[in-house]
Amino acid sequence: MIIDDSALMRRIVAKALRETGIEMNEVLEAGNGAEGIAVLRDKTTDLIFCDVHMPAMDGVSFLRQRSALGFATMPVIMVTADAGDPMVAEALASGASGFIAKPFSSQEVREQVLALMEHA
Amino acid sequence: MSTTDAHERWAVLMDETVAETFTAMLGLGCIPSQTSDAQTDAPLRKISARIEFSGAIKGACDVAMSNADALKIAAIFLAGAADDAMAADTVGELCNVLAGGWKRRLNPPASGAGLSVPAIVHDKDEMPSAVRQAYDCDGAQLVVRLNVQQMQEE
Repeated sequence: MIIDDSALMRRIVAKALRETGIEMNEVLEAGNGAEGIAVLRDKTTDLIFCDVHMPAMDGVSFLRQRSALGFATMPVIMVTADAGDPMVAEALASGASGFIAKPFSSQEVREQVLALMEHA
Repeated sequence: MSTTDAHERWAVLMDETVAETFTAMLGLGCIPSQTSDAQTDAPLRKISARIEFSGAIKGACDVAMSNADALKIAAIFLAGAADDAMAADTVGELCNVLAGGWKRRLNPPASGAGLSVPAIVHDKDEMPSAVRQAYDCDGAQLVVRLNVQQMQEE
């Protein structure tokens, strides 16, 4: 699942995922953390890419909610334009598996996903 | 460092940021435009996005593109057609990535300054800018403006 308030960024991340060659059944999308939680309640996902700053519910709040709902082990990769943002550190402390800083290439997405799969 | 030197350095850092962004995410070269600001700026006022800095930087970064050029870049981002709704989103995301990348290149504590979420701004809100750079990116043009009122940097 890709959670981002920018439809463009959701499609960019989806494209980068497709370019990794990793087999995917379906890419789910949500426009903010609250929508992401709603999707989690309904569908099974293996991996989540999540923006840090979003309206309605930001990435850190999403991480906390998803833990409270019993999905704490579901890997979440944060996506940010500001790697030095204190919220990135907060996200990592709240259970995010890692982060990708924009601008990113498909190769960086692939490396992050493969690293997570190796540790799964 | 004099004000002029500082502005020149910020412009060079923005050139690097723009080049890195377009190479990494689009596989495109993006270079400072040879056309003068006065010539390039006028037709580019259709969509402008702004990121405000906070903390160790007081100021903002604006990115402006024409609607057609924003859609052209969006289509390259997506490797397919982009709909009209994507134009503002594209300028906003570019502004976000460029402001973040430029800030990261500064020395601390400025490199740790905060960024707002991108907002679409209108021509009447155009800010006075310390740095104004136009870029050519595979036939599309964008203008980046930096307005820095205060910066804490080692």
